[in-house]
Formats: sequence, C-alpha cells, structure tokens
Amino acid sequence: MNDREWQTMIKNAVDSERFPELDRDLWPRMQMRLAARRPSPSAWDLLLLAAIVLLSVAFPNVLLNMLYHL
Amino acid sequence: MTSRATQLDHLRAFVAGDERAFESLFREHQREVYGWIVRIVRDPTAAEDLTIDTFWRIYRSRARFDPSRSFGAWARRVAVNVAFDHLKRSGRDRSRLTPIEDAGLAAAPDPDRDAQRSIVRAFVHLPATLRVTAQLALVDERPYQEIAELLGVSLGAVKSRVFRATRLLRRELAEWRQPR
Repeated sequence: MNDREWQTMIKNAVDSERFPELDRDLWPRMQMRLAARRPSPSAWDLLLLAAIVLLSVAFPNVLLNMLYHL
Repeated sequence: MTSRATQLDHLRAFVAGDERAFESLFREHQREVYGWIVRIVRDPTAAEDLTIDTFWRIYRSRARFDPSRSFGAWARRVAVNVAFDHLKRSGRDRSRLTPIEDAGLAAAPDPDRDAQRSIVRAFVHLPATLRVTAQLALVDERPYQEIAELLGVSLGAVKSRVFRATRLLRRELAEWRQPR
C-alpha cells in the first residue's frame, strides 16, 4: 500500500464518524461568560464612593473646595 | 453603501468593543466554529464549551484584529488553537473512546468496521501536535501552507508532523494489517 492509498484509508476511517451539527444557539452561554468576566467594583471602590457621597451631603462646601483645587 | 463596506463597519464596531457587533458575529459563525472544533476533539459536549472559549479569546483580543482581513480565517485560527490546547490538556485521557466508538465496540464483529475502529483508535492516540496536523492535512485535506498559518509553525514543521503521524499510524496498525 503506498502513501496515497494509506492516507485515503485514514481519511475514510476518521471521516466515517459523523458528529451532530450544533442545534442550539450558544449566545446565552456566551453572554453569561461575558457577564462573569466583566470587572465588578471592589468593596474599597464602593466604600470610597459612599464616603464621597456622605461628605458632599454633610459638607457641600468641602466638595466645591476640592473641585476648585483640582 | 456596499455590503463590503457594511461588513467593514461591522468589524470596526466589533474591534471598538460594540457588544451587538460581537453578538452578530457570534451568531453568524458559531456553527462553523463548532464544526471545526468537533472534528478535532471528537466530543460534541467539549466542542460546545470550546466554541465559547474560542469566542471569548476572540472577544478579548479584538483590539489586535485588523477589520480589513477575514474574520472567518481569524476565527478558524483561534478555534484550531483552542482545540489543540484542549487535546494537550486532556492528553492523559486519550485512551478514552468517544461514545460513538464505544457503541461500535459492542456491535457484532465486522472486519471492515474493525479496521475503521482500529484506525480511529490509533488516530485519537496520536500526540496532540500530530493529531491536529493529521486531522487538518489528511482528513480535512487543507493545504500545508494554510495549516502552517493556522498553527503558527513553519511549512517544514507541518510536513514533518504529517510524516511522523503517518509513520506512527502505520506502526500502530501494522498488527492489524498482518494476515491472521
């Protein structure tokens, strides 16, 4: 058996096994992956945000002073 | 505006991070990507997971994609490499047959079917590098140059891998070829 015949035999054998086509939409799973990997704010970020909000409510002038110096 | 220009705008939107453009590309190519992967890993369940992994890699590296080039060709390169990584990781499980092969083993003896099963069994036992190259070259009959680009190796490496895969398969199947 030469190389060509040998390769044809391999192709026919390996190709004889048929796999089902994809019969459903994988987008919902992809969306879950995208959502899972999207960076969420850390606890420190939320704490800092809360502090800024509280500070600006309690002492509105402090915020204006900070903005002036930025 | 031509359809080519529309497509280019669409790809530019994807590169810029537009999730709707990505969704559209995903829906357009998911079956094709799954088809490429399942032929390499020969496991439909794993192929679904790897299709998601492929698109995840595509999404993460979108900034490096040149919209003037073919998205399909790029997706194929990523898919082949994701499937290849999977085969390398699961190398220790290579002795496991696919459910389809398992079902076949229980069937009545049939010399032709036995020969086919022997070839498939030897094929899935090839090392991952040889198996992926042999799948693309011998089974899918892709040009060697294209395989070299898909796998990121030289043309010489592809030829060498095909030669080694064929030699290994011949050796594995020599016993079956002997007259009984």
